[in-house]
Amino acid sequence: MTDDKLRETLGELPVVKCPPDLARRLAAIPDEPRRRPTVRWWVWATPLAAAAALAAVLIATRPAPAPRYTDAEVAAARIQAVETVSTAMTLIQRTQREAVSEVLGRQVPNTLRTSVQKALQLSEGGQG
Amino acid sequence: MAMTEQAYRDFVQAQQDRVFSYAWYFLRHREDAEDVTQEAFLRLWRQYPAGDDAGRQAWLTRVVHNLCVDADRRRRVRRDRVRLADEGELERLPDRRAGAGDQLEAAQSRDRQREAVAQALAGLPAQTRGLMLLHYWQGLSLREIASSLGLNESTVKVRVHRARRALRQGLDGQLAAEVGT
Repeated sequence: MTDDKLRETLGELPVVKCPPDLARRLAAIPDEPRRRPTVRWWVWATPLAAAAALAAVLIATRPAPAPRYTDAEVAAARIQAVETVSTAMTLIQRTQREAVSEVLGRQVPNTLRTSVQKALQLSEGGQG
Repeated sequence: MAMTEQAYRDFVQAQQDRVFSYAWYFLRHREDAEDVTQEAFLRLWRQYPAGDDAGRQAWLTRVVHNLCVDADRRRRVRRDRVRLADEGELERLPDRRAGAGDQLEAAQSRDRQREAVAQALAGLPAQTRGLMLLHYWQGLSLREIASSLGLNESTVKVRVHRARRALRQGLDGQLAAEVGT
């Protein structure tokens, strides 16, 4: 077949009539309610899923925070705390004891003695 | 601004045979051609491409061509499961060249020739098949095809030239086979 004949034959391929049932469907397209363009679910679901997956991976692979004190240090601190409280209690008790003995053993007798001496001096001078 | 129903119906009336024929010669499968035609006009109604009728026609050409390429690709995937639909019911519009005194034998010969060309066309790769139809059957210029399909004009020219050569070789092979039998 020559080139010209081919062009001619291609150009003369008959137009095929649109089948009647298809023509009816095409004509009925405007009768369908216009749908608002909807945002397809994967438009928002995909980035959301990706973000969730990323967050899950980050949480799963995050290194556990290093403990600030070792068990030995905590035990030592506990002992120190007990000792500190004990020392404080001892100090308080000793202070109380010293305070009582100071008052009753020295200050009260001294005051009494001074008072008695003054009374004696007054009585002797009055007589003399 | 939405396309008015009347404008849509007028446009469909003017274009439906052309669009269906293009899809039919491209795919040679009635159901696929119907699906492509319906989808193309559905998009036209929903998207209402801007411009005049010529602009809308160029838009429609591009949409139909792309839908045909996609349908052809899908069909290749499911080729084993699909039986080509019977085309016997399709109606051809009257031959533009046939006169009142046309001899029956000449008309039959032309029909055979056209069928041979249509079959050879179906053997071309999808993209070039479309270019051949647009250029030789629809009569679009290379520039118009390039503009419609978003291709370079020289690319279209080269592809059409190669496709024509491949088509001629296919037809010569077909003829040789017929003579041989």
